[in-house]
Amino acid sequence: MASVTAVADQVRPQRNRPGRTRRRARIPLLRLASPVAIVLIWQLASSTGLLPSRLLASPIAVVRAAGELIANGELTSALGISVVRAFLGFLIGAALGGLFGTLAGLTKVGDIGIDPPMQALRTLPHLGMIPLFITWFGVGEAPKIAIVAFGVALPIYLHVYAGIRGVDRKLLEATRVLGFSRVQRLRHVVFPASTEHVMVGLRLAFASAWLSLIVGEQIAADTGIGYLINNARDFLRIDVILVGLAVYAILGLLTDAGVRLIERRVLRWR
Amino acid sequence: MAVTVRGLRKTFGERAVLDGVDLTVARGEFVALLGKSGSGKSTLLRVLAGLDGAVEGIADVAGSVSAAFQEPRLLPWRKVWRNVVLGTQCSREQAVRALAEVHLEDRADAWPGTLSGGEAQRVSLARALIREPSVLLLDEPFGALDALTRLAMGGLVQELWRKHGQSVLLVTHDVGEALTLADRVLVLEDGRISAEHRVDLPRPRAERELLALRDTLLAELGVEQHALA
Repeated sequence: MASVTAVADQVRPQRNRPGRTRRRARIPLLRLASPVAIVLIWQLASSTGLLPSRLLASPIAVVRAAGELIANGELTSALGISVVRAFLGFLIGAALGGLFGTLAGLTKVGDIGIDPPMQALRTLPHLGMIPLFITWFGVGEAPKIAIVAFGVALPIYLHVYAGIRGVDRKLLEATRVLGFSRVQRLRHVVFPASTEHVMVGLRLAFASAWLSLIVGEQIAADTGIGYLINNARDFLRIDVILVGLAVYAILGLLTDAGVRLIERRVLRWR
Repeated sequence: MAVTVRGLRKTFGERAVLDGVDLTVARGEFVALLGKSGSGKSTLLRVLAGLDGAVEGIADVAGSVSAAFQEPRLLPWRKVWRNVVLGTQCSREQAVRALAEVHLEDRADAWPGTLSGGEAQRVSLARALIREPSVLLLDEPFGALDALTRLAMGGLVQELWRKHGQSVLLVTHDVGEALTLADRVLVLEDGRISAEHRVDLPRPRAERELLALRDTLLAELGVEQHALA
């Protein structure tokens, strides 16, 4: 008994010390080491003139440019416009992709009528359609929103369709014997069973949305982050180009983290 | 009659899986249906459950049907108690009561994925029974369980059958199980009932001495006594 308490006394204070948690935290910190080193080397190369500023601005210059763009309001207004484009395009694309995917997944007519053309469209690189979109929609907001919507609709469609088609038939049969109505089967079997697929579709759709936006904004834009970048190119402001790219990257990270958050909540039964 | 089957035929292409089945189950009767795999027993159950419509002959079930299958087939994204009541008008309270009958009231708020095979099968039994069916179809519900859990489940089914008094049609390939549980044992062979035995023995069915020893051994192995009653 005495030896047990002695051991416990030895163990307890140690457990309260941050040793364990620090060791756990050290691994992500360690993973930060190489990116930080790269930025440091980059800065060093820029300061010593090894990396000419006409090729790449130094990290400090990029941060300074970001501060400047935030101060004069250019970045915030460009960001606002880009986010609205992405959001509208996403909404339209997700609604259409979700609707078609559900129809094709649930109904025979939809499967026969909708799925073949959608599967054919998927082989088409949608960014290649920009010239067509410009012809159809001109150079205003419409082609940019349309290209995002198109880029979003396909992954959503494919994953909603696959999710619904992949529902375990045995579960459907069981619920039929147990007296579920058609609506109840959709609500409690088909839709929950397809969420896993839909979540994957959402993440791919967001990635595609930002990519489509970046490309869409490069053409004939007079507002938005893409315009900021294009304009900076004309004035050889490499630092501003880098700020624009960083903003795109952060937007992508944020939406991905958002979907992951939803995923953890919706799939918490796992 | 709770179940009336007359001259039932079901063909897949050229092959007749059910080839003139005649069968009745009386109200409150416990009937076991034995057969090798491929004998058509699962098909017969599917027809009675209303899952297979295209048949010749009569397959009539008086009143409501409910079923438990070889795999529990619970919805993994709904809590245990929701799995029990979904598709009915029953409340959570009634779900917990039904779960108590299968000794799982404390798992009402668990996710199905956290249950053991035997527990999940008991939930599936509670889910079938809360519907108060006049006919309960059991399609090898213990088939995937280990031998000990299997015995306990058999006892539980018998206990619940005595309490609720519904007709039971149990499909199994375990002769011992069929003889222990059923009033009548049928053998299905090549799509037809080939043999029928009435089991006129009082329950529980086992020689006293053996039972005592078996109970002792099972208790030592951790199978709960109420399940053997």
